[in-house]
Amino acid sequence: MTQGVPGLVWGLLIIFAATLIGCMLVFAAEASTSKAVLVGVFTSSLTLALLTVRVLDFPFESALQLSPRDFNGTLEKVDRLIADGQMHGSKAPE
Amino acid sequence: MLGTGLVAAFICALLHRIVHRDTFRRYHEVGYAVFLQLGVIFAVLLAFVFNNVWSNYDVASQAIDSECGSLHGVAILSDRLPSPARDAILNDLHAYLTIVIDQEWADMQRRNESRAADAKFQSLWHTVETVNTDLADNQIRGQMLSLLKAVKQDCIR
Repeated sequence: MTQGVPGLVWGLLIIFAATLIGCMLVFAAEASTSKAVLVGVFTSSLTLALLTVRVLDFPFESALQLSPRDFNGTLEKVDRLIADGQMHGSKAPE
Repeated sequence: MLGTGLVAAFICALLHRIVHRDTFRRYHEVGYAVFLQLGVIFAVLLAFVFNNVWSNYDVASQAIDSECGSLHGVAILSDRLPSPARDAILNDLHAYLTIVIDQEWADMQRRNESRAADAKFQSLWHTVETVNTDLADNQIRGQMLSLLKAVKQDCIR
């Protein structure tokens, strides 16, 4: 799990996103507040999409990281078995 | 994310103050068509990449479930063995799980592999393989070894 999305693909995604935002900036004919808001929302959406890919790319870091909860649960069960063994002394061979 | 949106909105407002409106109008028609085509290509590329990273995330999550299930199976089977063998296996299992939680998880967050966890797993495997048991318990040993083999195969790191 040490290799993620290749750098070339990241490069393509970022170039495409930047070009799309650039197109929106340059080709927005009417100057108005709503147009500026639209460009802002569009840019935020693209950034969110790219950030989600980045977060999912490495499952053991960042906001959506997988937790060791299952391993903790298994460790608790093992500890319980060890404690049971110590409480009942040596188990007789079956 | 909000910052990029605000910066883009600011640049948009600034551009319309600096550049004359007719200049924008001249490129509007062709720009619109280019924008749509680029948008489709970007969407397809993003969909492929998203599908790939989501699948990998899902595989990692399932591998953890499966590994924990197998290790729990080893613990239950070892509980059926007589005391010295049982204790040796459970203690090794405890050591392996502790290393995974305390050390390997932190290493994986830094995108590194943990040699300590590998060493502990080898030690657990060796204990299960060599621990003294009755001939009647050899079937249990075989089952534990197959579960440990599954753990090794599920290991995503």
